[in-house]
Amino acid sequence: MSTEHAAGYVGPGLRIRGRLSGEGDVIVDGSFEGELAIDGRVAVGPAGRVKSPVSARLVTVEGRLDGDVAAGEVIVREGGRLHGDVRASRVGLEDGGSIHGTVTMDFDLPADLE
Amino acid sequence: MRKTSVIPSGVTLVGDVEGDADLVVYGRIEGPIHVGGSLVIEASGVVRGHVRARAVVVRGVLKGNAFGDELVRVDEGARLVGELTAPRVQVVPGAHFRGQIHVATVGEPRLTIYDPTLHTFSGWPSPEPIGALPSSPSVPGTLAAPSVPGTLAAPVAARTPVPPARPAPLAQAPMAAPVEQAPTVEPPSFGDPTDTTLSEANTPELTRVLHDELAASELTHIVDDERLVDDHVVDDEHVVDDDELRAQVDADDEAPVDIDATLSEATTYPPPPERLPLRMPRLGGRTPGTRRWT
Repeated sequence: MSTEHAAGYVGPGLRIRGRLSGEGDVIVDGSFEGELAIDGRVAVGPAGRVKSPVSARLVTVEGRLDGDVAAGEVIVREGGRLHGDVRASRVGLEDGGSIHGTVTMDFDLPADLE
Repeated sequence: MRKTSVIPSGVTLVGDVEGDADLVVYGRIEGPIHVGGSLVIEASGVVRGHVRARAVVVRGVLKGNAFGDELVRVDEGARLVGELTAPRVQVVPGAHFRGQIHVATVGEPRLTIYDPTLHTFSGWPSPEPIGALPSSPSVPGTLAAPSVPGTLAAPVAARTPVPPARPAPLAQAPMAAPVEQAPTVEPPSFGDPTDTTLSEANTPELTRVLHDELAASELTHIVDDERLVDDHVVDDEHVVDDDELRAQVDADDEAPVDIDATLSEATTYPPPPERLPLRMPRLGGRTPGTRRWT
């Protein structure tokens, strides 16, 4: 995880409830419940647990995320579990990750298949 | 080593493909595909229909559901509308995809009664006759109107995954099998139960048999749970986790926070990053949802 500039950090053992919004990056290794609206990157670490709708530029899930996600890019890595609908321009699902929900991306099929 | 079959660019196949082989599609196939080896839909390839293979790799266009006995992979540049089901599902960033993802074993009779896709393919049906493709492959078969309440018997039987002990009747059924036309109350007075072909005369018997098996099985309590029906819960995992979460949240709401314990616990953690751009909340007096975070 890139931490070249300071990021919001929810450490292990810490639990937060509420609405988190603003610019910057947020890393959750603890527990977050509420709403995440971040103009930046959101990472749910392997032990992290997020139960909230999430909107961000990039969402990376290595732990568990319950909630709908709207983002430019969503990556679910090994061990990551995303329960919720996903709307994004780019979606990556790695081996051992899972998305339980509907994935929606804007694109067109060939005209005769629509 | 077997040779790989190829549908070349510029060639269109209308029909179905089945066999123990590897297949690469550069051209176009309209119809279901079921191969025992790998299926690769290359960037120029277009497939309309459900596909199943040991490994399914999509780089081109697929409108239909993809089932992988081992793997489904959606590569960069692919355009796919449908559902993905495999023990390993990979979606590469840059792929275009609409639908749902099921990381699961294909054909395993798990508690996915409310999943129209898995229900339809819990036993892989024989290929449809040419020209009988459903108009919308993403909604396979006739789903026996899953959301219609009322007479429960017929829809439940129609949604039942094929029991392993009795795969024959449904395995021979076309995807649009009119199972839901079965009468729901009176026991059928016709139809030979030993006849495994799915004909109209046999449908009531088949429905009754499936229903009896369902009633005798442990699935009954799930099926009878109207809340699950209402919520369209997809699998049991959701249910368990939701309850877990709900219980935990309830417990959190009731349990007072032990500030001292929390603080002493917190001191054992590594220090946070140098600068926190977020203003941290004061501890104590926690009333969820009322705190201002700005």
